[in-house]
Amino acid sequence: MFQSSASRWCIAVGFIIALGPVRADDQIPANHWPGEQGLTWASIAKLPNWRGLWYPDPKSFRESDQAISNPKHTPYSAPLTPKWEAYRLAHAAAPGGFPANASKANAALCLPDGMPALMQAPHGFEFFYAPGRVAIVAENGEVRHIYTDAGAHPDDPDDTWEGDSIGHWEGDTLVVDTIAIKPVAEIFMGLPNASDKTHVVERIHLNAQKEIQVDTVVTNPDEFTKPFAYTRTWQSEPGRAVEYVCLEGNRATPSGTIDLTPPAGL
Amino acid sequence: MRIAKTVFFAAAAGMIFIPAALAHHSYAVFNRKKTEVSVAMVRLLEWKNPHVWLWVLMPGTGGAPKLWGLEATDIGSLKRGGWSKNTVKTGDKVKVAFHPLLSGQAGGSLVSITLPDGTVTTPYGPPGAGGGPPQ
Repeated sequence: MFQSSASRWCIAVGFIIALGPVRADDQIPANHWPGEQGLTWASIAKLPNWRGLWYPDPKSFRESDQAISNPKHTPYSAPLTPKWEAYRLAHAAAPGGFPANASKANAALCLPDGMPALMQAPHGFEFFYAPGRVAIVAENGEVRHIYTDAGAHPDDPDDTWEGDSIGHWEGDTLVVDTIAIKPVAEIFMGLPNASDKTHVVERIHLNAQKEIQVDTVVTNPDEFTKPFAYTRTWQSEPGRAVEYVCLEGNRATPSGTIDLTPPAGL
Repeated sequence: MRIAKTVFFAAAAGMIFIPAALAHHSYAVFNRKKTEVSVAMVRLLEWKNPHVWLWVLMPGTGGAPKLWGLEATDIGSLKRGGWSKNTVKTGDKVKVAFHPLLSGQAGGSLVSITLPDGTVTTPYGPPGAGGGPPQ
């Protein structure tokens, strides 16, 4: 819904006055984007219906795999700084086309992928709406809380695995802006965020093939020479979400070996 | 069940896309250039994440049965490939193809399995189906 210029001005003045070393959540400027923003249940009813489970399609898996493990530069490669490209190449050349440091990768240690790696992980995803909120729930238990009622990030937020995400709707597209990501969270498997300066902007919509399309731009001057832009698509997946509790039966060890202890009774 | 009857060599011929870099852990511990094939008797399908393990008895030195652990993918990938916790049961006689561990231990990465009814499948579903990756 459109705001009058006077009310926008008042909000802007209020925002400036409210700025301080620590900004309480109720002082964060609100989402004033036009159109349906899902701030009420009535508004949510008019948002795109993304109900159900979504799973990365084979094309997305291939492109993610190319970005991670292909020793050559491909159209899917990340524009890494020399330091981080050397890091990636050192690991991409490992036997099996697998990052040599994969035993230290978050997934092998049953840690979260974090952002932005989560959005290309091989799990099912579901979207849930509530007034002022969109949640993206991954089968591995990671949850992204996207605040659609906020017009700005909090001041000096704590770094977290999924970062601080604010979102708004531009018609049928959900635009998500994420900052404050812990460096230990990964860009993709085996490649950490170089620092907490990673900024992720995603435009998410249902494309003509009826797939969820996530157009992503990742920036971090400590890691990339230019914005890392890529698209991942998720196909509709029948059935229910599959529970994934990594620690239940993880046989991968931090040293890279496999624990072959048979189950009791064998 | 989406498991299809097809020829066994399809899986071993590399028709399946397996983006190892998206897997749960490094596959460098396996000899991915070598595929061993053996008859086997199922002891247990260990239906747990992050990876399901198939425990089987295979003929060892002198023909004595030896316990092997074969790693499949996560439950989600298996279910999407048509598997269930009941796809095999204790005592089933199957044929398995796997990449052995480089360490020489009695373990490997499951490539495909021929079920008692002759159906062949992989940890990603029917051979050539182009299913998702391991984790």
